[in-house]
Amino acid sequence: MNRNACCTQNMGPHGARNNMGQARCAMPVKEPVRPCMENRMGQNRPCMENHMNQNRPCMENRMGQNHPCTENHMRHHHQDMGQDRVSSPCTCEEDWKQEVPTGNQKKLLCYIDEVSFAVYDALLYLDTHPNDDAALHYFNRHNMKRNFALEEYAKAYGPLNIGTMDDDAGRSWEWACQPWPWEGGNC
Amino acid sequence: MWFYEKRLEYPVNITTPNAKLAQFIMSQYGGPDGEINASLRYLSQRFAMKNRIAMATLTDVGTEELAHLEIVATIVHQLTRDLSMEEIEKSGLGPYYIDHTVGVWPQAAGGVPQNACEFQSKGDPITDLFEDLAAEQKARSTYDNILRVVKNTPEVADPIRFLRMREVVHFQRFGEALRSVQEDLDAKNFYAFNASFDAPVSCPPGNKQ
Repeated sequence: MNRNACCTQNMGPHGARNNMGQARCAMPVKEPVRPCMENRMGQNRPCMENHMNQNRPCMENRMGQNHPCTENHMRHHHQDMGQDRVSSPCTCEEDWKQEVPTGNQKKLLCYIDEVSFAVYDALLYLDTHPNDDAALHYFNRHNMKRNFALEEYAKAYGPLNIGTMDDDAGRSWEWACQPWPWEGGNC
Repeated sequence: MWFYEKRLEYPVNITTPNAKLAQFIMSQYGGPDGEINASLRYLSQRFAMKNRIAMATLTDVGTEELAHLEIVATIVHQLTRDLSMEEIEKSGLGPYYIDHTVGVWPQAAGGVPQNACEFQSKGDPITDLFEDLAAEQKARSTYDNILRVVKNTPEVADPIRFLRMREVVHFQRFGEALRSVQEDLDAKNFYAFNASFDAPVSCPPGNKQ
């Protein structure tokens, strides 16, 4: 699908229209930058710095609480963001696979918590900054890591979501048999 | 943890707006037997279940109810877009329009706001699962009532039939979940105690404690 399509759809009179009765985003599809994002993108925000280092008091609070997962994660998070700023993003998938901890369920789940939070936080950020290349790379890298880790977890301990369910005939329905998160004892 | 999937569980493509039908169908969004109450009921009750079959059933049905919530909202939205002011006033949607324009808001067909008092989370698996069976039947009855009104509007009736069918399936699954809980209890008196509070049981046998 053309990446501009979302901006050119006719939304109907009660949809995305301004007070003049015209569709807000109805711009030619050929525009180099998404027309509806133009104003915001024109400000050339060094988005990641703003995003991670300022305006996020909630993160600081949470880190202060010494939650082991969050703490590790935020350390990675900040390092990775730094990486994005100085070099082009790495695409070494094999390295990312190697990074997934194996042989320890708690560590693996902790790792999944970390990369999943990075993925979701980047997802929210990208919703309002859809053309931010560094953020796109950051998202893709962590999403891949997350998928590797989810597959690894499903193979070793049972699936965490339906995307990685692959019960062979010899096993029972692991989805219902494995502990639920509120039972405690997990990362 | 949830991630959103950017699609409807069942497609909705309504081409002709109809304010009257929107008002009726809205009840399955925020009404007494609507989808938001269904979802909140199951996702709240699952913590007090005593076996993982019941936990899985409540989690997965509660999640599907959110998908149904989205289908109902889509129907309401598509039935209310492109309405003229004349249609809004004539159809009786006027009072709703004054407060919400044509935004989607959880209320019953009669205008009563969504209310958590329409469901229980009793902390007793037998009690809760019996409520869930009744809830699925009540929702099915509501969809039957809606179908009598929309039977001549195929593009609305089609997704409503799908939603009705899922109530029947959920009723069956909850019946099985209830049976799985009862199997761990004294068959002579299922109500002898609250299995989650008075006498913790090990379920599936041997998995805990």
